[in-house]
This record gives sequence, C-alpha cells and structure tokens, in this order.
Amino acid sequence: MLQKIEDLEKWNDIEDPWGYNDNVHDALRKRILLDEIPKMQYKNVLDIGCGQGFVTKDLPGEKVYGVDISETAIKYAQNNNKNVIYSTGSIFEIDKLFDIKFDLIIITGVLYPQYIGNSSSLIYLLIDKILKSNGILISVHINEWYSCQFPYLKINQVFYDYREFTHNLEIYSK
Amino acid sequence: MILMYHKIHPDTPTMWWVSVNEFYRQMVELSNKKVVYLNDYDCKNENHVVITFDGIYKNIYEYALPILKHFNYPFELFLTSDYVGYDNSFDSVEPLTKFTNSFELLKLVEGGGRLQWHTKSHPNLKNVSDLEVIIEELTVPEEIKILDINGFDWFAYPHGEFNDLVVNEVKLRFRGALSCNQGDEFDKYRFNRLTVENHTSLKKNTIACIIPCYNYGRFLIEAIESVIKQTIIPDEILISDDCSTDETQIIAQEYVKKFPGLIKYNRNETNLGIVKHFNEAIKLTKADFIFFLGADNRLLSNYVEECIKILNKSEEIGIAYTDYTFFGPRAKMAYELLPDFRHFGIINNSFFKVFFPETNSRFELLDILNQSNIIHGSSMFKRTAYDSVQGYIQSEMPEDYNLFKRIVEKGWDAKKAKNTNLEYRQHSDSQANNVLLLQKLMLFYKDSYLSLKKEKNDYENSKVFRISYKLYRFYRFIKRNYKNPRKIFKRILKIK
Repeated sequence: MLQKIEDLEKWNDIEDPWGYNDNVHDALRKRILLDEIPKMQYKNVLDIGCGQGFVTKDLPGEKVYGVDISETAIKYAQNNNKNVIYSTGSIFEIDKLFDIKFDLIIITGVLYPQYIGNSSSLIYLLIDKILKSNGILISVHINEWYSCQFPYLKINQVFYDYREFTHNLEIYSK
Repeated sequence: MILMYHKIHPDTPTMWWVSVNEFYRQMVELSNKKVVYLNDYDCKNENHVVITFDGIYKNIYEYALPILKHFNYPFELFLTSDYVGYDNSFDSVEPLTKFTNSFELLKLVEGGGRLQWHTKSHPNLKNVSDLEVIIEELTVPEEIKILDINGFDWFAYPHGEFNDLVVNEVKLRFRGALSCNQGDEFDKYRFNRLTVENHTSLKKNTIACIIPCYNYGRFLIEAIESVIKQTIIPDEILISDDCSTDETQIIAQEYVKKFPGLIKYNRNETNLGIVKHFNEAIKLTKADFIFFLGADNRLLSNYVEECIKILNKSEEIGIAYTDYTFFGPRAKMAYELLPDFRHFGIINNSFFKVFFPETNSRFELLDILNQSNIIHGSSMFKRTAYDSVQGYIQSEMPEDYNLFKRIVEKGWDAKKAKNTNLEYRQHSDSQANNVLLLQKLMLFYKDSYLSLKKEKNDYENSKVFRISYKLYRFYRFIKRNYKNPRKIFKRILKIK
C-alpha cells in the first residue's frame, strides 16, 4: 500500500528524520553522486523527492529546483538553503508543476513500492515531459528495492555499499 | 468491444481497481484497434473499441488521463452527479476514494473525454416502477450539462441493471445505453461491457524474446534484466544456450527459478552455430511476434512496446526495426567504420548512436536492402513472416540480413519503431571483464545465496521439519537403547 501523506508529514516533523547529516554512509553517497554527474553546464536542474534538501543544496546548475510531496520537509529545506527553489508536489503531477524543461534531473530514493506502487510506466511518461532531449537523468536507489528502468540510454552505472544495502546509481541520457 | 473501468491507481485493493501499469499495458494492447467514441461505435466492427469509466473517480483524472492523452485515445465518462466533489463513503465495502470535482471533469473533457449520464444518485433501477423517480434520475441538471456540450447522449444503467419501463424512458432521452452483462452485443439500448481487471489482456498477438547465448554468461544478467523491466513484458523469454562452457547455465537456471512460467532455458547438447541454433530456438517458442536479443546487448525499457505498436499497425508489416547505439571498448571503432550518414551523435565519448533510415515504400526498402542491411538482428518479426520464407538459412551473407531480405522480397514490409533504442555492445574478449560486470555477477550470486538461505531457514522453522526431526531423534534413541527399557521409560517421562 502507498504510504499516506499524513504519515510522511509526521515523519518529517523533526529535522533530518533519516539521520543523513551525521552519517558517513550518506556523506559518501552524496559525494559519489556529485562526482558522477557528467561535467557539463546545466541551466535548470531538478531534484525529485528532495526531502529536506540534503543533496539538493549541493547540486550544480544555474537554477536548482527541489520538489517533495511533504510540505513539512519543504519548509525545513527552505530554511536550510535559500539558493534552491523549493516547491511541494507529487511525482504524479510533476509535469504540471513546472513550465520549463530540465537538462539534469536527479531522483533519489523515490521509486520504491511504498511511494509509487505499480505505476512506473506513468512515471517514465511524466518525467519524459520535463526532461530536455539530450538531458541527463540520474537515479539512485537501494538495489534490493528498485525495479525501474528508464527508456533512455544507460550511459553509466555504479554500485556501492550503503548502510546494510547496495546502492544502484544509474545515469541515463535522453 | 466496450471496456468498463472504475478506478485506476498505483495500489489495487479490490477487483474494481486496475493498477496504473496494467492500465498502461492494456492501452498499448489496443494499438491494433480503433478506439472511438460511442457516437462512432459500430458494434459489428470487431476493430472498434470504446473505453468507458463509471463514477467519475478522482484517480481517473490523476492516473488515467495522462496515459489516455499519451495514446491520444477518446474515452467516455459516465457521471453520477450527486457525488461530484465528494467521496464514496456510502459504499462501505470499497476503500474510501474521492470523486472528481467540476474542475477535474473539465480537464478530463479537454483531454479527450466525453461526459455521459449515469443517474444522479446511482440507484438500482431494476425494481423501480415509479415513473417519477425514473425520470428524476434520468434528467441531467443544467449545471452539469454545461460541463460538456458534446456529451450526455449516452446512458449507463447503475449496477448494469434495468427493466422495460426504464429502457423506454432511456430511449426517449438518449442515443443509446450501456449495461454490464444484462444486455447483449448488438442492442444499442443495452450494450454489454467488459469489466476490465488487472489481469485482463486485450491483445491478439503474443510476444517471445529469445536470448541466444554462447559463452556470454558475464553479460547475460544485464540482457535478461533489460527484458523483465520492459513496460510490456513478453509472454515468453527463452534463454537458449548453444552449449556454453561458462556460467551461462547457472545464471539462466537461477532466472528460471525466479520467473517460472515466464523464463525458459534451453541448452543445446552440442554447439549448433547461429543458423541451426536460431531456427531450433524459434521452434521452442509459440508466440506470434519474435525477437532475438544478443546476450551481450540491452534493451531500452520501451523497446517491446514501440516494436509491437509498429507490427500492430497493419497486416503487411512483417518486421519492426529500431536505431541502435554502440557502447563498450570497441564502440568508437565500430562507429567510425560506418558511413557518415549513419552517424547520429556521440554521448559522453562512450555511447555512439547509429541512425537507421526509414523508407516510404517496400520498393525503396528493397533497393536499400540490395546494397546494405538496415534491419538489425534484434528487430521484431511476425512468425507468419518468418514461416513464409522457411526461417534462417546458411549463406555468404550474415544470417539476419539474409532472413530479413527474403522476408521483404516475399512481399512483407519493414517499418522503423522510433523513440526507442537497442544498446549494442562492441567488445573483444581480452577487454570483456570490467568492475561493473563483476559487481553485477556478485550481486546476482548474493541474491541467490540469500534466497537459498531463506528457504533453508523457512524449512528448518516449519512444523513438519521440527516434528520429523524430533521423531528421528527419538527413533535413533530407541534403536540404540531397545535392550534397556529403563532408560527408555525415563526418557519418556522426561518428555512429558
């Protein structure tokens, strides 16, 4: 069953509920992600499911956007970092939230059954609407819980240990 | 055929819900039909399909609308007006869900939907004989009517049930009406509808993916994973091993265990070589559409979807081909060997996109095929096309080029599926192993180990095992001590 929005709000009631800020694993996975982003000039960058902005605040790009379904998480994110344009919204309305297209989209820890159920085909469709052609999409997920594959060229993939799991980082080019 | 849906959602708690992915699959499967509005529906035309929704629930706006717009399908929305903007708390059996509000209804109409009538309060009209009640329920309020000026010509009986009086009143007000199963196929005032569920399949043709493998075990995991993560998963996946001496067999058998009924494994007792092997492998499958995926290559997730859309388009199209992209240590070299007009761009200095031309007619295609091949070996083809030329044959030409050329010469056309791609690995044996491949292999073995360990634990914790084990211990004890009844007696007392 999809996790209820009320539960997500409750979870985000405290700052840094997942304990990212003082965890070596999370420091490392952020470092790996930032290292793996292809070195290019990015105009518009979007972090889908940005939570309280742990990764978002360090992303490259002229304009960085972060979106999360939890309003509480976005409030913390806005307080933590003023350079990112944060907004609240669901991944299922992602094409309606923006009137621009992005040349880099990051999606971390979102495409799990408790958030998206059986709807991956629709998610590919919606993300495609907001990703520029030749744009880059980076997906980072716990390999054991992840079963998506985007309809783009998979130009790179990295596996590394994360907490007691394996992280799967995929880089796609549209 | 008229399809009936109620709710589309990522979760599917009861049979009235269809998951977003299954709905998407069903929409792809309609690509060989003509989806029409009820006004244009010809019940004798087997090609005609109407998509209908009853409610209308908010999740149709959230999850079905973007998919319907993507496929550019028209659809019908049977509205129960009392619930606009509310939820289904009256229906205590079903999980709580919201209905659409007027704004969402307008958006649905804008996206190709047409509003139709499903009464004000959804009463079962079968046993209602009070004409006033019937007329009240059949009357569309003005404020609802203005939501769709092209709509409200059709009616759907609540719960699919009706009596003669109701039908007569409906005839005075609507162009036609829909039931569920109280009606029939040809009476337009009592059309039956198909209740679509998660598992409902609307397609005519089945699909087989054959992964031939000869000592490419190290790449096999990536190839298989790229098939089982397709938006449209083939009906059969056959891993056909041409007598490999590497880990192919172990990996394939593990996948057969993981996906019983979907993945099959065939191992040739001797190495047959490509032509014989491919023909044998096809014999082991039954599906109408077939494609080969080299064990060292990968598909984009929409590969099957885009190819079947092309094959579904017309009877004459026998083959669907795509562009492909070289990657791997020899990719640059392979790319540079191609003529300039085939170069389609380089990404990250590691992915080399190769362009495949399209043709306007079969004659133009034949002309090109006489000079060089533009239909790659992973193209999807119809079994009937393959049978019409008796399959692969040995010749001077590459076996796939030869097969496809003969199919086109026989009268079939080949069309390109755009918007998808095949990742075509270019490698040499000395450069074949890299860290990523090893990691994938290790993760694969780790996964198999964990699932075996779980099986072992589950077994050891099961009652059957625990009781059998105790009985066995007891039996051993008796066997050892049957000459010593005192000891046995003591032991029995202890057990109690």
